[in-house]
Order: sequence, then C-alpha cells, then structure tokens
Amino acid sequence: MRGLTYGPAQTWIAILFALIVALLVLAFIAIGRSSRREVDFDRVKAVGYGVRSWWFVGLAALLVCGVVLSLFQLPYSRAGTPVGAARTIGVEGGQYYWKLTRDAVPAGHVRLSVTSADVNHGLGIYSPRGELIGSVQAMPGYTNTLDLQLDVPGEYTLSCLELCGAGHHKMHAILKVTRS
Amino acid sequence: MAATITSPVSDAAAPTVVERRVGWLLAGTGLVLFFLMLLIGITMRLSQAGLVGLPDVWYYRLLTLHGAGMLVAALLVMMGALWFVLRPTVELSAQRLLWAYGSIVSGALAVLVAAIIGGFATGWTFLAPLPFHPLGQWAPWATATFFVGMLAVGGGFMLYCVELLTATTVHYGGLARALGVPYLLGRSTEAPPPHAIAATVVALDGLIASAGGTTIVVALLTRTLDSGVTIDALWAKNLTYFWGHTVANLIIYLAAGAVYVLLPRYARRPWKTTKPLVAGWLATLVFVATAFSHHLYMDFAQPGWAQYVSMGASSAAALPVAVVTIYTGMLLIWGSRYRWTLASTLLYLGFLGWAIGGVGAVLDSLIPVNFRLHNTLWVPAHFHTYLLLGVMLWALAFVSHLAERAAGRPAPRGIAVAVPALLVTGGYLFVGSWYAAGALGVPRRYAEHPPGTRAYDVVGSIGALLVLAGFLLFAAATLALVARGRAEATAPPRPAPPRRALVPPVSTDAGFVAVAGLAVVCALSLLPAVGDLTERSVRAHHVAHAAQFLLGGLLALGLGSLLALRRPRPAARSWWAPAAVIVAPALMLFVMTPAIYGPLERHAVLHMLFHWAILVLGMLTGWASVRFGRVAGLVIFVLAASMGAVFAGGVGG
Repeated sequence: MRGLTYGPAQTWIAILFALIVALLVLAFIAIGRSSRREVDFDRVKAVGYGVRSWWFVGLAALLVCGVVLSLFQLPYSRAGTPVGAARTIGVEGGQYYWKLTRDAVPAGHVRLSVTSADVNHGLGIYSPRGELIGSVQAMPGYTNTLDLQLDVPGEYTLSCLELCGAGHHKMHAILKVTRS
Repeated sequence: MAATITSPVSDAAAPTVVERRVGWLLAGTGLVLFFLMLLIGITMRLSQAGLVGLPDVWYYRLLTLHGAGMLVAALLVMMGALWFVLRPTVELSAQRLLWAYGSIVSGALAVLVAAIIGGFATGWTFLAPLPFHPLGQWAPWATATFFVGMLAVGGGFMLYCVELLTATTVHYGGLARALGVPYLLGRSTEAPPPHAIAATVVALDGLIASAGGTTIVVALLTRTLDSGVTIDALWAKNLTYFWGHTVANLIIYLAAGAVYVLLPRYARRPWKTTKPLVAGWLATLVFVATAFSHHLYMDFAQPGWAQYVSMGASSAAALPVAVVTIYTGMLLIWGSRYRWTLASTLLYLGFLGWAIGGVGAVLDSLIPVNFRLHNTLWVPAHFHTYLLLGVMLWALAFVSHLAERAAGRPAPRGIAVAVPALLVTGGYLFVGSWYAAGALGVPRRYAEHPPGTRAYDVVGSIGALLVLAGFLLFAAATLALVARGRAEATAPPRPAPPRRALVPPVSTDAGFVAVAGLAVVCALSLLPAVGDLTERSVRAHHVAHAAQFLLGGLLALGLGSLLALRRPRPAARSWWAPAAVIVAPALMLFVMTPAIYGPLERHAVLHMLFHWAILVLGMLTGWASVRFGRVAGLVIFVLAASMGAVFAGGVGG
C-alpha cells in the first residue's frame, strides 16, 4: 500500500468533529467548576429544563439536516445510470487478491461491479495522491455496483477494507486511469 | 405536581451480603478480563508501531480474542452493576445471575481456547463464510469451539435478560407499566424509577437481539459440522450485526441504568423519572434495535429501506442520550457541591466519553460520511471512546464505589486525581491517534499499517501504555482501600416480596382462539401432501420444521396458560424453565442440520421420531414460557418461534 493523504471530505469531517469535541470539553470543564459551589436545585431545574427544550429542538434540527442532506449524496444513487462497457470494470475479491476485468480505464465516469470468490472483502479505492475516495463491500453471491467519477489520471490503489484472513492487509491492486 | 419515584440517594441503601458478593464477583471477573485484553490490545498497538514483533497470524488471533474478550469484560461488569442497583427495587435471583455468569465465563474460555490454541482468527464478528475459509490457519474444531463459546456467552446474556424482564414486568404489572407508559400518557401519577425502566428496555432489546444471535451462531455451527449447508452471506451479515452491534450497544445502556443510581449518591440530588426520560427510553428501545444496518451501508445489495431506517435510527439514537441522560446528569452535578472522589470523578468523565464517542458515531452513521470512513480506524476510534472512556470508566467507578463503601472512606486525594488523569490523558491520546489516522484513510484491522503512518501508531501506543499505568494504579489503590477498610455495614437479607400470581401469556378468549387457529395452520405441516411439497427444497423443509416447533409450542402454551388461569402460580423459580426457553429453540435449530436429519429420513420410524422431537422441543419452550408471565413469557415464546422461520430464510443446502 502507498502513502496516504487526507481527502477533502475527511478533512472537513475531522475539523467538524474536533470543533464539537472542543465545545464538549469546555462544557464539561464549566460544569465541573460549577460543582464547587451550591446552587438551589429548584433554580437549576427551572433554568435547565427551559434550556433543555431548546437543546432538544436544536439538536433534532441538526440531525434532521444531516440525514436529509445525506440523502442527496448517497453512493448508490447513480448506479442506474447507463455506462459503456469500456468504462465498466468487473472486480472480484479473493483471499488475498483483486481480479479486475481490465487494468486500465479512461478518466471520467467509471463503474465497478464488485463481488467475491470466497469470503467478504471490502474494496477501498485510493486516489493517486493516496486519498480514500470511498469503498464498497465485495460479498460472495452478490454483486455491488459502484459508480465513481475518476477524473484524475494515474494509479489508483484498491485495498481490502474487510477482514478476510491473515493476508488481509496485503490485499492490494492497482487500477490505471488514463487520459480520456 | 405528579408523584415520582426516585433512585435511592443516601448511603442508607446498604447492599445485602449477597448483593455485595455478586457485585464484586462480576465486577472483579470483568476487570481481570479487561486487564488481560488491555495487555493484548497494547501488544497489537505496539506491533503496528513496529515496537514489538508480532507475526501477522498472531495479530489476527489476538484481534479476535481482544474484541470478544473486551465486550464480555464490559458486559460482565455492567450486568453486575445494574443488577446491584436494581435488586433493592425488584425481586432478582442471585442464583440465576450466577448461572448467567457461569455461562458467559465458560463461553469466554471457549473463545480463548479457539483463538489461542485453535488459531481461530475471523475477528469477533465472524462474518460468514470466513470461518470456513481458514487457509490452513485454524481447524474445524476451533471454529466449533468458538461458536459454542459465543452461544454460551449469548445464552448467559439471554438468561440475564429473561430474569430482568420477568422481574420488572411482574413487579410493575405489565410491560407498559414497567416502561412508564401510563405515567407518560398522564394516566398514572406513579412510574418505575429510571434504572428499572432502563433495565426493561435493555432486557427487551437484549432478548430480541439474542434471538437473532442464536439463529446465526447455530446456523454457522451446523455449517461447521456439515459442509453441505449453504448460508446466504447477506443474511448472515445482517444477523451477525443485529446481534453483535445491538448487544455491544446495550452495554452502555446497562451502564446508564447503574449510573442513574450511583451519580445521585455523589451529587446528593435525586434522579427522578420524568416524562422526557420515559419518552427517551421508549425511543431508545426502537432505535437500538433498528440501528445495526449501518454496518451494511457499503453492501449495496442491502435493501435501501434498511439503510435509510438505520441512518435515521443511528442519528436519532443520539437524542435521548444527549437530551435526557447526559443532560440530566449534568444538571444533577451543576452547582451541587458534588462529592469528588475517585468513583465520582470517573463517573463524571464517563459521560464525556459517551458524548464524544457518540459524536464520532453519529457522524459515521451518515451514509456519505461512512462511504469515506467505512472500516477505517475512525470506527474503532469512536467505539473505543464510548467503551473505554465511557463504559470502562463507569465500570471502574462502580468498583471504586464498592471499594469506598467497603473501606468506609474514599481513596486518597492523590489517587483520585492521578488515576483519572492517566486514564483520560492516555485514553484520548490513544483514540485521538485513531480518529486522525481514520480520517487519513488507514484501514482498521490491519496487522501492518500503510507506510508513513507510524507516528500515529507510536502516539497511540504511548496513550495505551498510559491507560495501562492508570489501570494498574487503580487496581493497587482499590485493593489497598479494601484491605485496610473496616467491615462494611450490610443490610439484612431482603424479605421476599409478596409473590404475585402470574398472569399467563394467554389469558383471554381471543388469545386462546388465536392460539388454536394458529395451531391448526401449523398442523397442516404434518400432512403427508404438505410434507412431500416441502421435500423439494431444504428451505421449505426447514419452514416445515419451524411450523412443527411452533405447533408444539402453541399447544403447550395454550394448555399451560389454561392451567395457570385455573391454578395461579408465581414466577418461575425452577432452574429448568429458563434453561428450557434458551436451550430448546437452539436445539431445534441445531437439528436442522441436513447431516443429522438426512440419514433419519431414510427410515420411516426414525423420520417420524425426528419430527416428534421437534414438536416436543416446541412444547418444552411453550410450557416453560408460561412460567415467565404474560409479558416475558409471550416475548420469549414469539422470539423462539420466529427463530425457526428466520433460520429457514438464510440456510440451505
């Protein structure tokens, strides 16, 4: 496996997570410090229960927004789009190899039809820069179809992301994306 | 102002000798196991950092053992903690808890043997068909031993859930009352205390998940014995995660139930049952049982509705946690002159771990995010946050609470600061390195990490070693506290509460009519013409077996309920009833191995006896279910009966 780089999506996810964690830590520090003094519990409840209603509404709204926005970014949403045979690659996972029906594909819209010859595998696709673009599972008896937009020419690394035995971490392959 | 029932706040709620011993036994065993698994975890981390040499084969064996062992460790401590705080409230049997304990510990030992001696290395998730593709790494006996071990662990947890559900539903007079529904709807001014509601939810979800777990593990066991058995990989994955994810998730809710009682002892404020709390736990009941499919987001063959339900449930599960439990806990502490001791500090910090781990989980539960983080180190990062820095801190808090009570004084101030400092500093360094590496795209469960990522592994290893130092200091301080402590005051044995007569699972005319009607339908499976039809495929054949099991169960359930109505009896006290409702359905599934029933079908008498045996197993289950009352009995029976149908849906040959 080659060296890795933070992808833009993952960077934003990590930043968002770090910000929320920072807020949580500050809140816990404040609550911990407050416990040194005594505040009438009825007063705490009166204020706290009022704030809780807003906390509930705010958090619920955030979660609903997250779920709704996610529905527009589903990795399986484009699988019905027709793709030419030249842009479709059959990928079969096996202990511990990836067998591709073609090693190279022109840049652009690429369809991966992924299955397994033996056990469950996970196909992780890493860009030439080492960014994790996404993944799809390879399951025996099923074919999972993943559409990707691979616009950057170069060597993409395919790595197994589902524990499949003692050679799991050595299960890699290269897919060349050429200029279209 | 509505009347509410509160958790015990004062130290006057002294445990009995039995409660104290059982609490120590489960917590002690869990922590010993935790320590061993911690050492294994550190070894794996050091190996990834290149600081120790661990062959790849051994890495995956240890990974399997570490995952299963840690879950068992956390489960044991928290089962003990919830039992400890719940027993003063409802009638719980120490003897049956010890059976559950024995079953779980035996199962853990079997898993240990399978992994270390047998070389079994599929990860604790044992995703089929990997157990049957060992490439020379393990033998079939190791596979069988592992699955028998998992059955024993699952069976022990089922027994515990049966006990909890029976106790709370009988005590409060039904499921709705045990969950506080009449109080929520304004039809009653009384509600169970928070920890009893938590126990009911955990027990109900635990039983539902365990039915799925028993089905998949027995199916895999039949495949181990008979290589002609075929198992649908998607079906297997669904059931594996339905069981594994749900039970792992329930551990934290077990813990929350115990925290409802422990935290008020330090905040000196009561944790009351309120309408938001009841609503929150009802929501949790649904969300916990429906969230598991996020493990299959990247299985595009999974039906879309399951993915969307899972995304909604996984996200929404944060609401009751954040708005009810964590928020109320913080209100109890705010301005309370909180009594800061080792136990109470760990309790407080456990909330932070649950909150941070929850944020990591919710982000990963969004499908587009999961697409970029699935099976990277982000995943173990988030669940280690709420298991290691949430549940295990609460586990240590429970043990130090027991120790503080035993000693009659808190741990020294220096220890109360140093232990949490080491655990939290080390723990967050450890999980932080994984969050960062996960966002980078480093896969989880890799014996060797990609080039250029060693720094993350080194930082993680340092964090893990700090956690070890914190744990050792905790263990030494706790042992010293107990050894030098005075004899703890204990309460006299609790007088047995008045034994209420059980309402049987079937108690109305409509119920008996439904049972009779369903039995007639199931009896059709015994007709020769139907038998010939079901011979055409293994799955159809299995459906017929399931119908015969259900037929036997319905007959016994109906008859048993009728007798119970005529001569009311209290809840099951015998050993056989809990054993029967767990073992008989599992045995019914097990004998659906073609290698077992195939030869019998060539002899008319043996063939008939085989079908009678299935009928008898059903009768045993139905008869025993009556002993758990209307709610628990019906839940147990329905789940047992459904296992046969679910099995038929995924197992062929």
